[in-house]
Amino acid sequence: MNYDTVRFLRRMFASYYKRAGLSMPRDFWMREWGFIPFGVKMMSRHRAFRSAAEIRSFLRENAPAHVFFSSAIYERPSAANMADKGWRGADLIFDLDADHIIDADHIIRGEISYDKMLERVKVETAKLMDFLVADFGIDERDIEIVFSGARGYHVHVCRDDVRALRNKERREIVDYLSASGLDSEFRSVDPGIGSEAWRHGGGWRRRIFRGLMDFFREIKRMDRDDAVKALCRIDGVGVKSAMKVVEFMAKMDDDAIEEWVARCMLDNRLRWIPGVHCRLIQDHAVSLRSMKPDAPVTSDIHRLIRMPTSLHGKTGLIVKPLSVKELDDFEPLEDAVAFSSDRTVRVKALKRNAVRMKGHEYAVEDGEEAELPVCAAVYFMCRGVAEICDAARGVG
Amino acid sequence: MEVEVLCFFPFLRKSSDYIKEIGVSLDDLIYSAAFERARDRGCERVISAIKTGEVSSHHVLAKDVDMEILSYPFARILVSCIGDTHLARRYARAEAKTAYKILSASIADETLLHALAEDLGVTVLCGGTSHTSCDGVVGAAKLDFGVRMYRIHFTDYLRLASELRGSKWRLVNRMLHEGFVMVSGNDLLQLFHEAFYDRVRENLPIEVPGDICDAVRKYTDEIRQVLSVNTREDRSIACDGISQSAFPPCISYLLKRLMGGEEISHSARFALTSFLLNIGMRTEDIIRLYEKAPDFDAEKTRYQIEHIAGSRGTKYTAPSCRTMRTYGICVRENDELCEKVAHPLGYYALAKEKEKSEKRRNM
Repeated sequence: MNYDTVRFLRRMFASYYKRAGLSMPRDFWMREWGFIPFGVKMMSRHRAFRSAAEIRSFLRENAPAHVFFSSAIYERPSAANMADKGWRGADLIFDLDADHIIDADHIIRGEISYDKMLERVKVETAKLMDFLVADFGIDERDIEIVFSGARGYHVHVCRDDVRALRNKERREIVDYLSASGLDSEFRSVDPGIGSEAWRHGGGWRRRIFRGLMDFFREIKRMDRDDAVKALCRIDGVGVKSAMKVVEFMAKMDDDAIEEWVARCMLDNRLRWIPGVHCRLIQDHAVSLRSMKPDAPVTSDIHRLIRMPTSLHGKTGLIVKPLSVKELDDFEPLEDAVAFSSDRTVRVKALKRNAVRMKGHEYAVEDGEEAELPVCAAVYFMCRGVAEICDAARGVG
Repeated sequence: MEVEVLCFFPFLRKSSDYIKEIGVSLDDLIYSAAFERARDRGCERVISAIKTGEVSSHHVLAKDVDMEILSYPFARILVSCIGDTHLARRYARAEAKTAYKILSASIADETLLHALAEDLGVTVLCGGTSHTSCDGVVGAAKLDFGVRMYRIHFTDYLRLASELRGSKWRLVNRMLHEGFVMVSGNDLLQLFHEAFYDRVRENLPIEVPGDICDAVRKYTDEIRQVLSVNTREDRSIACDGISQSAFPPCISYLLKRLMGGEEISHSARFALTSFLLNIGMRTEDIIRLYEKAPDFDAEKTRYQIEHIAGSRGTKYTAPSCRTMRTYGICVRENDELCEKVAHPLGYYALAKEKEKSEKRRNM
């Protein structure tokens, strides 16, 4: 990124911070803030602000590429040493990033488009929401979903009772979401929790129950060949056993299947559908319903998180807060675009690249000079694939 | 809560409220002749904690109830004046264990349970589902406490279960619904045990002004003496032919931490156990060393030691110096013998040889 580009981007970001309605995190004065300026790789950390006006004017004047604050609140947020800060608690924040959810190789090789990538992350985010609301009993109003400005979503849970959770306890939540350490036979669960309790009691037992029911109903609906194929996709299930399962299922109606699955789970014993280990199918149900093991990196209670409503310096997109309802229809490359598509600016491309923004496809070729709408130009410059031409002219 | 009940749970907020209510000041407790019995009992709490791991709950006569409650803050002052965190931990464990036993014995009392929960800041609801009501009545039958169902808020559950071992305590294996974790009565008791410990351990050792520590010197001296006798017994490894003074620094350090009731890592346990077995210590004696560990389980410990000793065919040799470094448990500090050896067992052999020849020379 050359100096002219840095200056241009700084001016654009400053203009955004002048007009945008910035949202301040709860207790912002007790948080540590960190910034990465344009053209610099190092983060300047351990800053603290006493008023929202101070933060706004800092952003307007410095227009940093990246803005972060701590998920934690501290007694002395500006202390240079973690031990001196006086940790008072931390929000529970889940970081769902495409890098964790999708095989990194696919991303690097460009086998998956940006849209598709975000679509997959959205599915995981919806899964997380179900966990948080149904299992953890967290009110949707206490959950803030934030588009990260690049390849994922952050989910903030802002509640006093989760703030005090320590590292180890947060790790337990992550393990719960990813079903890691799940004793799928529930051997270790107190036998006192027998009877029908689990059907209503929640937890993984109920999730597995629902998962198995969905799976078998689906199998029953399919025609014979598809059903066998679907079963064979499960590790360890062969054609012969798959056919036996299909036959077994054909003899039963939905109620009978439900009873059968319930009995299987109640016994806590591995039952065989003639030919297939029920356990395999159960594991399959778990894998469909759990979150990717590394997806939510929530257990670090000192981490910095991107400020909602700030701009992401690698895309120029808004780090956009969303309500649960808005998530469904949210289109990052429409709804999180900060800059105008009417005015244009001249750039020189360093690498070939393309983006679909506000309904238009923008593409640049290696070495090409092009007149582009500001929003696309900023995106390419932030990505490091273009430099500004004719800096003096600025935005036309 | 009745004061007769409070005196069994003197660490509750309600207990300190009660003390405020009856108007006993800190000065009264430390200096007034009227409260000598509270002071004696406070000292007894600590000594009994060191000796037996409990605070010797005895039958409290109605007229002694106030003294019993007051003895608790006094015991905290004593522990704090001594200022040893090992002692603080040991004492907190003993208080928690005693209260746990009392609660287990009076468990049918739902009112007590909920009063405790409220005081300890734990949200507990009764009944796992609509099937069970608060008093555990299902239809015409009344359930035993152990299998009654309760619900505890997940944040409280995570806090209290975080030190409990075993996969059944993992959140992932629990029924979690709308923010509450389902637990049986027995589980709830265990969680209360943890809550008691946390409450007693809170801020301990507290800061006590010097003049107060001077005023209670009579008691702290007595406790120090009991402590030194008990710790010395712990720290010596009485075993024929084994010379503890010849242990390499890494092993001595691990041993010291273990004896101090500290939790040591799995690899550290393996290193220590295999070393002790290799130099000929008996399984029984090694189990005794682990008794001080916070999560001691005699059966498990025996199994693990026997495993390392070769019950499954492989007899393990203690890790080498290089491996100890990898584990991060090598503590070499300018020890000249360490320079000469590559294995803790080599150190021991050399040090023992040296000791012998020195003894001969002195004869």
